[in-house]
Amino acid sequence: MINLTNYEIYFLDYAEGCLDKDTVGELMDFIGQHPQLKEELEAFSILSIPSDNSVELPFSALLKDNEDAFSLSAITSSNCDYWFAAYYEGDLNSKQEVVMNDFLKKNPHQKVSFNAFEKTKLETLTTIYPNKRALKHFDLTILRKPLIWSAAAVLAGFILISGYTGIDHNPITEPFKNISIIKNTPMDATKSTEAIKIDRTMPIAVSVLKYYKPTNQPNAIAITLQERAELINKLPAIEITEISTKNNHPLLRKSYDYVQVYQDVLLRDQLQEFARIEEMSLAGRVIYKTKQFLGQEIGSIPHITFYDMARYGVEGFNEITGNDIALKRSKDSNGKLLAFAFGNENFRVASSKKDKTE
Amino acid sequence: MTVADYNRCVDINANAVYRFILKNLRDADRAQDVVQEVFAKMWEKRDDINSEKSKSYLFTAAYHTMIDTIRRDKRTTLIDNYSNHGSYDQKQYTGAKKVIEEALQRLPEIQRIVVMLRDYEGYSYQEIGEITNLNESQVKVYIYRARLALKNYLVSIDNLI
Repeated sequence: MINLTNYEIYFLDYAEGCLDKDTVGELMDFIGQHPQLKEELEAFSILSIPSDNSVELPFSALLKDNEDAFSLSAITSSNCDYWFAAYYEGDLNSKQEVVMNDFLKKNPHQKVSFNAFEKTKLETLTTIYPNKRALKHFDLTILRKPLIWSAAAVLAGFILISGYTGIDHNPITEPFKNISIIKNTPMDATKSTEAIKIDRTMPIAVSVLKYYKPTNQPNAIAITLQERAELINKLPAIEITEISTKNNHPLLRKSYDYVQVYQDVLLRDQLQEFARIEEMSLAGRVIYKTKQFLGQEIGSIPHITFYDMARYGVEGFNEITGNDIALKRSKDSNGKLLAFAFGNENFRVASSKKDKTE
Repeated sequence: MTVADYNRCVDINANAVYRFILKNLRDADRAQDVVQEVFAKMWEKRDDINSEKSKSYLFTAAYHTMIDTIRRDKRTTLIDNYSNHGSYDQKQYTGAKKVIEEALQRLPEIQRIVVMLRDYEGYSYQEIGEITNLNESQVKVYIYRARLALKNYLVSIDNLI
């Protein structure tokens, strides 16, 4: 349907002879209704590009693919436009360029046409597709249900193990805070080849020190040996029976200071504790550590719950990662469990929207 | 073609395909639709497409999709009221650029397409032939005809002015 918003298309098609008989009739009717457009239609005819049929194309030459495509048709005023087009397309060989230039010298009025071809080269566009990201695709890993459960189990295990290994509420670690004033200046020491006998009446660190005689000068030490000894004497004693050099104990170092000795003894103690529970099942270990965490007596009848273990796990996770995630549960006035909540100030996962947290 | 190859292809070619389509359809919304359709086709067939040939595939698909679109909606393809939604705006053209733009739009469809593939994308005759299902000689003829028509339009405008 020709109307005032699209008539120019039909004018152009008409000028180029692209309209069928019926549409031409429709166009003439439209012009009859809008006689003011008749002049515009005539202008279109003047401006229209010659149709393909009106262009005298040296097909016989152009349709050949070889380099001498134009050699069959010498350049003339009637076909020179194709030579010019070929020139700007880079299709002329050097000989043909010479021929064309000679032609232009002899026919300088063709220079306008030649130069006009240069302007037909379309300039690069800079338009940008507005939503490129929407076209992209990304890999999605679809977890099958068993895999989801496996992943959940691994995550839960991670949290539990984090708590298991990450928390040590043994008060024996506390003394470290009190001996921080000792300068951690190492003393070179010579290691005794004899088995180290621990004097049960003395703090273990001092006992060990007996077998590691400092070889550097006392003035190189930040505090005196006496001062160190006094400080160490204030530390709680640890009961161990023997540290032997024969079995190449990993805790015996070539260089020692008191703090290191004490740390090593603590570590040994911890290792012993681990050794004690090493024979336990995983569940046993978790219960053991959780009871420690809850302050329950080891060996008593377990009354810890999964919630206790999860809380312990979250605690360990927080300690390792520096997070402040809380695990809470809500109960009604009768003590009946309503919901669990897990999160911190930035996120919250809850099994219920009720906000009655413990 | 991997997902990464596909996404790289989007990065490299989406703008060029869009420009090619937009220049022909002159309607930003429809051009975007065609681009989406073309990339959707490519995604579906990514397993069969060699990433080195992805650009050629894209333009071939773009060409055919565009032709289908034009034929489906022929009566509205040349509306001069460009869409305001896209970044395409006729006002950006002035002087000679405007004239060549007008002349380009007056070219027969196939001539306009081949000359655009030639100038904007720098395709060889052979590559254009592969995209448009024409042989090399036909491409050459269409391009020469297009150049001649553009030149004639430019000269005629100069004469009128």
